[in-house]
Amino acid sequence: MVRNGDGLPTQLLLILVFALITYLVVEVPVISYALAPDATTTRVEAFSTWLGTHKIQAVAAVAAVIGVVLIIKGLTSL
Amino acid sequence: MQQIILLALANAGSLLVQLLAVVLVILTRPRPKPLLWAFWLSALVVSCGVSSIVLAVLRAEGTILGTTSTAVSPTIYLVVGVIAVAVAVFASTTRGRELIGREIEKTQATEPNPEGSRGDRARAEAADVKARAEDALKQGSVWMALLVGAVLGARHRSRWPGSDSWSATGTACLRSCCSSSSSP
Repeated sequence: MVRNGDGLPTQLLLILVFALITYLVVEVPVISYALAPDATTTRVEAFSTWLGTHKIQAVAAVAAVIGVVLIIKGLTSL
Repeated sequence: MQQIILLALANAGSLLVQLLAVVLVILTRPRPKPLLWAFWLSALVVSCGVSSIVLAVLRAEGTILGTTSTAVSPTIYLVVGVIAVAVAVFASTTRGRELIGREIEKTQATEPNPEGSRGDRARAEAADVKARAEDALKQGSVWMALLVGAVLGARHRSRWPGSDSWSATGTACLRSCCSSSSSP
């Protein structure tokens, strides 16, 4: 990026774009709260209640996501 | 620009586990909206701020020296990944859920005695730390969210140029980005 000889505004914009894409997982609920606060609150409360009654399934889902991410990371690092 | 998007997606993938864990914890708090905003804004500000400082140094010096390698062997990722998937598969079966549920009930039924054996004392201390952490999350939660966001934002920055902790995809993208003479 630096060696490309882009101007400072372009480089700063690229840094912002990079950060925005990196935090997509956080931005989805943030944008959802901004666009439809009531619907999002209802959905989040329902999800929170489900999580409270299905702790083992939730842990299994998180373990599955972590496992798949680590396997992909391991395979791409080989 | 396409290369930056690819690079950012590779970085997002490597941070997915931490981000997902934080978002899940935040969403189960009583008032998640201010916490989400605090976490997101602090992570964004810190990562953009530190990246800008690195950019300024790179523009002035052309390179950053003195980085250290923190690369972990791919075998460790694969082994831990397979164990995590195996745990997930076991926990998703009826028998697995019964066994885990029984173990949790057994642990909760026996209260640790703070005056008892070394193991009991350790369990009592762990329960005390857990209760205090839960209190901190409930009461000073916005500050906690800001702090966690700042820490993750700084960690995200460590994957920018100058660091050795790049994923293979990230390194390939960076190389193509730097060697290209045209704009991204």
